[in-house]
Amino acid sequence: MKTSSSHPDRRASLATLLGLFLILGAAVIIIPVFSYNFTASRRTVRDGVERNTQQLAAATVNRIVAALAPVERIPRLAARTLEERNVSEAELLDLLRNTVELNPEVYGSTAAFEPDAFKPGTPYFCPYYCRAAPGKPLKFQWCGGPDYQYFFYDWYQIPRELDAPTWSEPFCDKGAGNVVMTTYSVPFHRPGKTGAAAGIGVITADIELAWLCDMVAKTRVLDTGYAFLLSRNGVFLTHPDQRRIMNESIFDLAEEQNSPELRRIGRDMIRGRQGTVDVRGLLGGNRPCRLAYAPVPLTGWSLGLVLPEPELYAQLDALNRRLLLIAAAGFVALFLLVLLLSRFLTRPLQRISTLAEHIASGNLERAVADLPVFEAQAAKLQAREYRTLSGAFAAMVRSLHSLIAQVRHSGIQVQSVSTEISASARQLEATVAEQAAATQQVSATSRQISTRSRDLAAAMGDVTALASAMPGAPGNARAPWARWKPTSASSWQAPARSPPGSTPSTRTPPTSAASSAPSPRSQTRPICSPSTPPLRRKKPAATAWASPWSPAKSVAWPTRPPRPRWTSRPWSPPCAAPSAMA
Amino acid sequence: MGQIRQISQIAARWRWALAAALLLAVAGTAGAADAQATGATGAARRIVFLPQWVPQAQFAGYYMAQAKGLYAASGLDVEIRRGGQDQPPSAALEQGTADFATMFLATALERRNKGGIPLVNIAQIVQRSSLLLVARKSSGLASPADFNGRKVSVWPEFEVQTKALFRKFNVTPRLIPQGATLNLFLRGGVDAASAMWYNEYHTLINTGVEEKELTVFRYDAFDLNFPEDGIYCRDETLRRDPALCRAFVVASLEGWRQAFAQPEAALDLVMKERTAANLPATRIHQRWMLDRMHDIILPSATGTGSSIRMAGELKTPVMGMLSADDYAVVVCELKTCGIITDAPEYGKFYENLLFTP
Repeated sequence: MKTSSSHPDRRASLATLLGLFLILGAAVIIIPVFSYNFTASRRTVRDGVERNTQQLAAATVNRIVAALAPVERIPRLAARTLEERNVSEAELLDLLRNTVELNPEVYGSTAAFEPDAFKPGTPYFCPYYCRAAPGKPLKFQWCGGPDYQYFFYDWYQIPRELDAPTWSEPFCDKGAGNVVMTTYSVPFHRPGKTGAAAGIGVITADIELAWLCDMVAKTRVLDTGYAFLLSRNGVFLTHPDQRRIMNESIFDLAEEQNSPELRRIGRDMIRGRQGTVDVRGLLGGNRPCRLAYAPVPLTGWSLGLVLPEPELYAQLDALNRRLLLIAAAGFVALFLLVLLLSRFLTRPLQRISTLAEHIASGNLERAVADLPVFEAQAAKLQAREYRTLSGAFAAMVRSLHSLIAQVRHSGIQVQSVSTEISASARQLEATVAEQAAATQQVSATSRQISTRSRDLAAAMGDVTALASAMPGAPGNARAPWARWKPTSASSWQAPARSPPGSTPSTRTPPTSAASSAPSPRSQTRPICSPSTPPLRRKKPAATAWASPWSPAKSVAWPTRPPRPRWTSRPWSPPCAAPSAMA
Repeated sequence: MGQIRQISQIAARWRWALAAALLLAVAGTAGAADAQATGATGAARRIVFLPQWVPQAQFAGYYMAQAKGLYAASGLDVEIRRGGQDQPPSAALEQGTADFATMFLATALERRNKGGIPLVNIAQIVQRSSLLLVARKSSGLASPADFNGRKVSVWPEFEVQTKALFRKFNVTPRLIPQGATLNLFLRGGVDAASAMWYNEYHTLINTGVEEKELTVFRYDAFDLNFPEDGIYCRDETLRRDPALCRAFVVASLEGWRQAFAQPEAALDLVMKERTAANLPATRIHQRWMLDRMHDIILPSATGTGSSIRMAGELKTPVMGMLSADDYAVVVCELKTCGIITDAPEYGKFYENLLFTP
C-alpha cells in the first residue's frame, strides 16, 4: 500500500498482516500434525526396533542357556553317583575324565572333598581334569594344598555354605584351568555319624567363557551398537572395550560417568529384570542410546543390547528431514500466494487512495480528469465489493465537483457585490478625507492669517518705533533690519522631541542637502542605539505643514539660526553590524 | 604403660613442630643420608623394598617417592618389588631378600613372637584400622551384640581383631574363613563379612549394593584400632645403619605427602605398576583406594570419616609414628587370643627415627 512519504507509517501493511495471519493459521494446523506424526512415527519405529531387539536378546539368551543347561545335568548326575556309593580313587578319576571327554561344552571337572572325607589322612583331595590344546590328551592335576586352599574358593565354598548347586562368578583360575571360566558346582552329601546327611564335597563342571563371550560379542546390533554380558555382580563378561572385561562392573562405569541412572539400570539388570530404557554412558562421547536388557536365567547374568539412538531413528529422521523441507517449500509458496492475493486486494484501494489524495490536496480537477481511467479499471475488478466501492467513490467525486462549481459561481456573485460595497466605502472615505483636508486648510489659513496679523502688528510696532526714533532720537545707531536674516525652509532644524509615550518612529530625523558629505565622525560613531529608530530624511516643507507637530518650528524665529545637530548620512538599517561602523 | 602414655602425650603436644621438622628433614636427610648412604664412593646405596601386596594405591607413596627421585635424593637406589600372597614380607626380611617391607602391626608382632624374626617397626604408615565388618541391614545386625550364632566370614590372618570385638560383647558367632571375594556374602552365604575400607568395601558398593543397605562396623569405634601398614626391617639393619633407615622412612613419608598432593600423578604410577604386573587396572577403584589411604594415614580429629576413636575420644596421631596406646591394645589382644605369648616393649619394637622427645 502506498504511504505518504511525508508521514511514513511504520505499521504493517495489509499484505503483511494477511500473510502473517495465513501463515500462522497454516502453522497452527501443520505443526501439531507434524509433531504428532514425528512422535507417533518415532514410537512406532522404536516399538518395532525394540520388538526386534527383544527377540534378538531372547534368542541370544536362549543360545547361552542352551549351552549351559546341559552342563548342569552332568555334575548333578555325578554327585548322585558319589552320594549313592563309595567310589574308589580310580573310579572317581574315570568319572571325571569321562565328564570332560564326552561333553565338549565342559572345559574341566573336579570332585573336591572336605578334609579326610574321601579317605583319612588327606586334608586336600581334589583331582582335576581339563582340556589341553586341540588334539592333545586331557590334562590332569591334583589340586589343593597350603598354596591352593580350595575350601575358600567361591566354586567350592559358596555351594558348600549354601548347600545348593551354584554357578560361580566368572573367574580366571590360575591354580588350575588358567582360563576365564565359570563353574557349576554341586555339593554332595553322605550320611554322617548321626545319620543326617552332611556335605562332604563339591563336584564341578567348568565352562570356558571364551566361545560364549565371543558369541555375544559377535551379536550384531544395528551398525554401531553392541551386545554385552554382565555377571551376577555386574562385571562385564563381554564388552567392546577389552580392558573392562572381567575387570570392571557396570557400577564402576556408572561411577566413572557419574551417572546414578546407569547405576540404577545396573541394579535392575543384576536383579534379573528386563526392560528397555534410554540411557547415556554406554557409548563413547556420552551419546544417547536405547538399552534393551534381559536376564540369563541359569547363571544370574544379564544380557544388554545397546542401540545407538541416532542410528535407531536414522531412516525416520531422514524421512522427517524430507518432510520438513517439503513443509518449508509449502510455506514459501503460501507466502508468495498471499503476496499476490494481497496485491490483488489492495490495488483498487490504492487507486481510490490516489484519487482521495488529489481531492485532499485541492486538485479536484485532476481527480475528475482521472475518473474515466479509474472507472475503466474499476469495471475490470472481479470483486463485487470493490466495484461498488469504486463506483460510489467516482460518483462522490463527481458530486463534489458539481457542488464546488456551484459554490464557485455563488462566490463570484458575492465578490462583485462586495466589490461595489468596497468602492462606495472607498468613495465615502475619500469624501471624508477631502473634508478633513479642507478643514485643515481652513485651519492653516486661519493660523497663517494670525501669523501675518502678528507680523503686521510687529511691523506696525517697528514703524511706530522708527517714527519715534527719527533723527535726534537716542539709541538708533543701526537699523534693525540690518540684523534680520530670513530663515530657510530647507535648513537643518533640531529634531522635534517626541512627546512622552510616543513611538520613536515619530521622530523627525535631520536631513539636509548640504549634508551630502558626512563628517568622518558620523561614519565611525553609532548614531542611534539599538532602541533608537533610524534617522529619516526630513520631509519637504510642503508636507511638513501637514504634520500637527511641525508648524510652530517650521518657521524659524529670526533671532538665531538653528545649528544643525544631525549630520547627514546614508540610511542604514537600525543597529547595523559593527563591521559596517568600522 | 605409663611411660608409653607419657611419650605419646609429648608426641601429640609436639605434633605440629614435628610436622614442620619432617618437611625440613626431607631436605636435610637427603644430604645427610646421601653422605652416609653413598659413603666415600659417592654411589647410591641399593636397597630392596617389598610391599605386602600386589601393586595398588595402597603403596602409592612409595611409587611416588621413587618416581619423584626422593629416594635418589636421599642417596638410595630403591628397588620396589611386587608383593603378593606368594611373597610374604616377613619371610623376605628373614631370608634377606628384602631390606625393608610393609606389614600389619599384628602380623609383625606375631612373626616376632617367641624367637621369631627380629623385626622392628621404623615407621607406622597406616594409623587407623581400615578393617570393617559389613552386614546387610536386612539381616538385623545393628550392633556387635546381635552377632550371637550368626555366620560371619573373616580373613584368617585378621581374625584376632574380629574375635576381640565379639569377646568384648560376649557373643559367639560362627566364624567362616573368608576367601578372596565377597561373593559368599553377596549370595547370602554369611550374615556379615570382613572388608577393607579402601578395597573390598568399594568393590561391594560397585557390585550394586547401596551403602544405605549396609551396616558398617569400624573397629576403632570399639577401642580396637589395630594400626596396619608399617615399615619394618630387621633389628640388625637398624643397628647397623640407622641413617639409612631414617633416609628411607623420611623419603617414603614425603612420597606419601606428594601422592596425596598430586593424586592423578600417583594414580598414573599405580596404573602403570598394575599394568606391568598384568593386573586388572581399574582407575576408579584405585582412586577410591588412594582417597581412603589419605584418610587412614592422616586421620584428623576434625574429620568424621577419617578420625580415630579411642576410649570414646577422637585422636589425631602423628604421621609416621606408632601410637603407644595402639601398640598396647594390639599386644593385649594378641596375647589374649593366644597368638603371641610374649611381646617386646614399645621402645624396643618401635624405633622413632623422626622425632626424639
